[in-house]
Amino acid sequence: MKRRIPEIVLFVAVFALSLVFQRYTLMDEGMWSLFLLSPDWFRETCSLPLSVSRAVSDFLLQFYDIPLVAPAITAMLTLGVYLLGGSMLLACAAWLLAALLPSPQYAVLALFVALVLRLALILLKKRIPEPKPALRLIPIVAAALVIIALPSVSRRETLSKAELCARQAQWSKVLSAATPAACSKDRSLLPYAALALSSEGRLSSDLGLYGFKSAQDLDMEGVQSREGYYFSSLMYEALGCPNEAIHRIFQAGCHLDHGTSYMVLYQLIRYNIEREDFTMVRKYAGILARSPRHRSLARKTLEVYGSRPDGCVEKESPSITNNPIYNLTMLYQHGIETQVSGDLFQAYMTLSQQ
Amino acid sequence: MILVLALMSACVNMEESQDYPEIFPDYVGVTVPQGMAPLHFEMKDGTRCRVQTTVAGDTTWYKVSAAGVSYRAFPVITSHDAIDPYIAYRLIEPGYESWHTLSICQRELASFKETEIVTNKANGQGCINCHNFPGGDPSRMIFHARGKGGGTVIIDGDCVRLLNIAGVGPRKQGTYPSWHPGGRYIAFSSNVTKQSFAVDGRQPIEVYDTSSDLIVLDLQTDSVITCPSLCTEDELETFPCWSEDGGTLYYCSAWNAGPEPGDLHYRLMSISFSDGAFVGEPQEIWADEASSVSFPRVKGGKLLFTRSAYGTFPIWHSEADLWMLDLADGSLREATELNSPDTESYHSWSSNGRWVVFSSRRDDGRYTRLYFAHYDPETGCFGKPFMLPQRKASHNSLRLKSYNIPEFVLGPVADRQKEISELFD
Repeated sequence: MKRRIPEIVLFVAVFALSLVFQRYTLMDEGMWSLFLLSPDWFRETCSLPLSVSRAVSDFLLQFYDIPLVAPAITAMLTLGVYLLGGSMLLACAAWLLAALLPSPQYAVLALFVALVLRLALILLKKRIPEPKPALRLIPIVAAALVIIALPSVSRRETLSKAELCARQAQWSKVLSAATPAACSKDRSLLPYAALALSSEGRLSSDLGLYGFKSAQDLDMEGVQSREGYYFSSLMYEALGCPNEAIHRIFQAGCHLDHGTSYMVLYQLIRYNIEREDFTMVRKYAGILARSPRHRSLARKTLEVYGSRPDGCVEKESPSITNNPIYNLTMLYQHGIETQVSGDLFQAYMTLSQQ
Repeated sequence: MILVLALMSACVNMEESQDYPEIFPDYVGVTVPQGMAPLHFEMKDGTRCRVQTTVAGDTTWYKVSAAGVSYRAFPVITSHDAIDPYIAYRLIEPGYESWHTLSICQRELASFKETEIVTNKANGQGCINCHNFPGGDPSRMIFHARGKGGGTVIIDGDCVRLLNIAGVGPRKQGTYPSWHPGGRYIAFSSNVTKQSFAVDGRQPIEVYDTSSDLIVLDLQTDSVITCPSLCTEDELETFPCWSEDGGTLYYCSAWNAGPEPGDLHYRLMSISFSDGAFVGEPQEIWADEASSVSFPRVKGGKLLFTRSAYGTFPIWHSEADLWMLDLADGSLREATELNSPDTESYHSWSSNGRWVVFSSRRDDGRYTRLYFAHYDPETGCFGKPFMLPQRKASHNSLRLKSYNIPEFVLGPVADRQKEISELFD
């Protein structure tokens, strides 16, 4: 039993630290991944480097949206590397890679390496000398300290929490992540704070408290990254503009290996429900149903919207521009007004006059 | 024994229906070329079905049973008119400004084999577009590669080269191509394209040109031929298409009415071409103030084009349909056999003029799929269109890419991905 202590400590440490310090990070990563039982998914995956470890990793990632599953998988992968490879250093390196990237792909790769190592040792009839249990605990402690102390880990966790909670309109949770102190350290949280505050109707009054300095702090307009487009999609959803939200989430998908992800598909379903394009809802739900993890929810969506006729019709419509103040005015004139748009408009005006 | 009895009992209790089954893709009553890949389909509602086929002459009868109902057998007619053995198309997300992976693929029509001709890995994830073959010749191909170090990739047998058309002549880049039947010239439109994103309504995007002209590239001298009446500022000239003898260039032209795409109505035009030069003045072939012409394609004296309410990018216009003009007598008719309530857009004729392939958004309104139809020159009518068959019917709905610019090809395009990649190193 005493010999098993490092293994138990390794599993418990990885599980506990992943749960405490990376809960939202891992959930977020899972939502941005994609594993589909479809010919195109397999073909695209095969064309990527390290395709086998990527495929296994994507299969695992689909379950990462379940809070306890992601830490458990990370812990099991790390333990697997240790048990197969017999090296605590290799196992902790795999843990660190899984935590910092964050993706299980390199831990899966380390598992393959450990497996090869184990087979080689069996063939050569050799054994790796095992250090004393106390010595084997040192890499675990070191890796744990890195994860606890690294600012990038905590910054990512805070941003992931804001990202995920904003999607579910859990504005108090967004604000518990994007606090004035956190925003001063990481200005990429400011747009989330702005969205949450405007949803609660207090953005214009709290501008100073959160340190908003310019109109650019209120949105991610022009940020051409997955993160930027994702935020913009949430923003336009809150502004009552599902067409533009679809545009932005499509753009976010262009930054992903498969051109889409569970997050993109879920958002596309939501936005198309909003614009009553139920044909597209069925299309995306049908695709999502090809994921073992998301199948049941996709099927429920198909049951609800299976035969609903489209309500989305052709109509004359103004166009979105790159000017947020013009856009908000135009939306107002077009009769699209939400809690967010009024408060945001005031905030833009205040900041543009400064 | 029990299983056999159960099956027999199920067969006996089968309810007979006088209706055709509702299947996806809809292959009921279509005409297909001989040797086409098998038509795999499924019930639209997802229930499992059993299919029995019987062949009688040129007709194959499909008897479908599903969920205790035996449906009326439907015919699929096999035509002896040959179809070109391959098609080439681009696969792209039906998105907005950017993309992730783009590929120009070829598909053998007798099987389900799809291979990549080129992907945008070759040019560092830049855009690749507007592939074209002279008369469907697989050994000669062009496409544009956009972005840094981009240009027009010209494949001519074993020679693969990159030409920056904007670097020669009037410094205009090439966009929509049409390869002259003689093989020496390629006509291009040269477009400055913009997009706008609608706040509301079903149509999310409008794509339009703020300027466009026509130019001709001489492949023998790598020089660009222009004509003043095809490079006017007041007019937007686009979508070139050579006549079968190469003596006429058809194209579309609209008065540049300003920034409102709704005001752009393209007319069908033509101009004569002889010995490497345009001759005479452009002639208006057909115009309508309330609609817009795109993608003229000529075969056997018939000109098939896309007609939409306005503008130059019909794929985002659900009202866009295919129309056919008889060049001999000027009569025009809607190709109702091909059209659906949703978009029909890009199309091309097979080399013998007996088949068309066209892109349509009839299935979901956003993801373009390819449809084929048989053309009977005696009646001047098309058969019922059928969707490009896939190994699994669900592939058509699972694929998250649109099929773009379908072109018939007379054989397989050789793998030149390595040489193409080297052009961008």
